[in-house]
Amino acid sequence: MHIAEGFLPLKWSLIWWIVSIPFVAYGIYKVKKINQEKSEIKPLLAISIAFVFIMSAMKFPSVTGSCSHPTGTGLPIVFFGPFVTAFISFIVLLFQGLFLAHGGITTLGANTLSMGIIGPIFGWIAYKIARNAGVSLVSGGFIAAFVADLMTYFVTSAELAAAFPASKGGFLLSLKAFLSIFAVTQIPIAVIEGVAVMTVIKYLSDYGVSIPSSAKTGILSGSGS
Amino acid sequence: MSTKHYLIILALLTIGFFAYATFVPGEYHGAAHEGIHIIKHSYSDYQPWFSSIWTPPSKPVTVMLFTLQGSIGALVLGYYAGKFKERSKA
Repeated sequence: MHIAEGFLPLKWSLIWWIVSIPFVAYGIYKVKKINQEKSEIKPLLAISIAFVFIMSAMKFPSVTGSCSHPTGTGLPIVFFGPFVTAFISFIVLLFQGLFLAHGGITTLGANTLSMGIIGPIFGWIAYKIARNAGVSLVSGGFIAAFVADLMTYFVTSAELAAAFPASKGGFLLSLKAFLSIFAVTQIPIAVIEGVAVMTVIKYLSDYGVSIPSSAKTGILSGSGS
Repeated sequence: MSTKHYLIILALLTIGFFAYATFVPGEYHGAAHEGIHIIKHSYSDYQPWFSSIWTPPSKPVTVMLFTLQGSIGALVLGYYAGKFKERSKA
């Protein structure tokens, strides 16, 4: 679920664009650096982009009677951290906004902030804490994907609630209304996404694919990508 | 079959049962569509101020484009999956 084209008032569209740009720009810098200095993990970058393309194209019906799609950001979060994920999400959201009328250009900043920045930051923190606690790389992938997916839809709800507060009850009541749709719909989809991420990480590990060292460490010893 | 295989079958049956038990008949709209309903409920006269630059002409075209998006990703993923498998054999 992305916020549809033209639905956020101009003021909010601009605010979210301005907030998102630095993260995406740093993500581009990080991708360039990977391409120049770490050629052995380039395939993982291609796989991560491909994974987000696949997952964000899949619509699942959910228990609420509506349908939604996973974000696919769990994989790049584990391998490259939140900044590269911001750039990958931006690319996918731009593609969907231009060619599928899903999301849009005016709401690209808001959708990037939820799917590519805040969701992944929470997913990455959860992943690093889990790794610190001794959770395996594969299970950590589930945690990263699950948390990032749910937080994405929490942030989307917050963005909509900020732009459209309820006349009585304001932001919080509006947030509750949006969360009742997006968050509940998303829970089973977040589980599916987590399992998909686990499967891919397990496959890559079994075939001895070199995984970035930062992905293997916890929050105290790992460098944030 | 090992215990692991029995557990996978059990997990699949549980998911199947859960999907059947919670099935809601009718058309499944996107969550975004439901969100627009909430906005319209509080702001009945609100209209989007900008429209998509290009909109797929029909629902089948939209579905085809989503499939295309997924296929591009699957192509890349499949390429590397094959490459890694070949490399591990060598």
